[in-house]
Amino acid sequence: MTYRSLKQALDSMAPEQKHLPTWEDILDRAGGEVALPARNRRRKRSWILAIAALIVVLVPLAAIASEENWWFLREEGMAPKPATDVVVVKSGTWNGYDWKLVAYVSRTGDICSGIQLATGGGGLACGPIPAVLGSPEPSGTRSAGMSSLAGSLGALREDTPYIEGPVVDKAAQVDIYLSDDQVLHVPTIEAPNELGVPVRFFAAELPNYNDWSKLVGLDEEGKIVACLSVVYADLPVCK
Amino acid sequence: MRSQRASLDKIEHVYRKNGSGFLRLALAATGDVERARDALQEGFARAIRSRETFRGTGPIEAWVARCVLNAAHDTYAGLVAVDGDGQQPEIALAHSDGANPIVREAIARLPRRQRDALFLRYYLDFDYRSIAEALGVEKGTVSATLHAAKAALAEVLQEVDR
Repeated sequence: MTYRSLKQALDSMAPEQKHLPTWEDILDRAGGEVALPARNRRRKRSWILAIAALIVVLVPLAAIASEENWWFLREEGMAPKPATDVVVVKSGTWNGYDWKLVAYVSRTGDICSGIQLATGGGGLACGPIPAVLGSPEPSGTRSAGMSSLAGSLGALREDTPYIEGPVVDKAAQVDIYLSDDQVLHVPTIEAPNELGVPVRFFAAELPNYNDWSKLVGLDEEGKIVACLSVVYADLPVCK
Repeated sequence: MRSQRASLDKIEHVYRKNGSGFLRLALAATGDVERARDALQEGFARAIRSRETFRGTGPIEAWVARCVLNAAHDTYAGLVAVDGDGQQPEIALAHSDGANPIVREAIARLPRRQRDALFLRYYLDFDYRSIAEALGVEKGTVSATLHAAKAALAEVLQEVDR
């Protein structure tokens, strides 16, 4: 690779960043006692023994705090600030991984949702759904009535891939079209009232790391009420 | 041969030694600083959570890079990601500091594997074995992949560098 312009292009695509996340941020994201370095575990144990008398009182509060201590809200700027509670839409287990589908409406008017691992960490994506939030439709785009986040629960992309997202509340089912021509029919999940917006959610483990080509939301009568296709989307395929 | 274990200390060593390189890898793969920081954190967090599954068939740096790339490639799709033509660019070209945009666009248009191989080579200075481990391909494939990337970019680069 000797081309000067290639080096310049690569340097400009990813310039050196002044501020790296700290290792402690990463341990925090990884979650769980097992992720803490031994020295921290020792320190924590001593601290706990020192205030043993208080623990009885604090345990219920701590339980609440940890439930609300989502990684995406710990660091400023990591995710839009919530205007509603972060609600757990559904819990489950895929391939041995315990997870929670969580969601909130942000102060910027986006719907944020993501799968969080019980052991800590996970994904989160935020975006507008005009049909749900009543916000103006951005020019040059079209109403999809849904959004999605695809990732994996394990370290590698083959390890428990999934897809989740919000969809307009008319959608009773989301059909997930995969690149190998499989179609998954996934019932949508009702959102908790605390969210305060007419939205439902879908979440599914993908049978393998397929690139999905299209998501279609269907109402009770099988009519298309939402649609999203990725990469070279073609509107007619949604009709 | 004894398999190598991915201990927390080893993963921490990888981060402290070259965290900035991994952040550049994530930035190149996502095109967005915040998404890159998120992918970096989640990639290393996944490596920590899954460290028992590391088989030690290659360097640990490569396995961690695979985790970071995996997190960087988690795909969000929604209205904001779809442009007027209904096309979703795979990489947002957010920076413009003098580098030729034609070259940047040409890189962005490379198939993902070629692009990732290029990024691993450049930002992490990985050898072919490490790139192969990070991409989950045979070592012999890496040479062909990088050659294909270079060939795809050659016309643009020769034009720009002339």
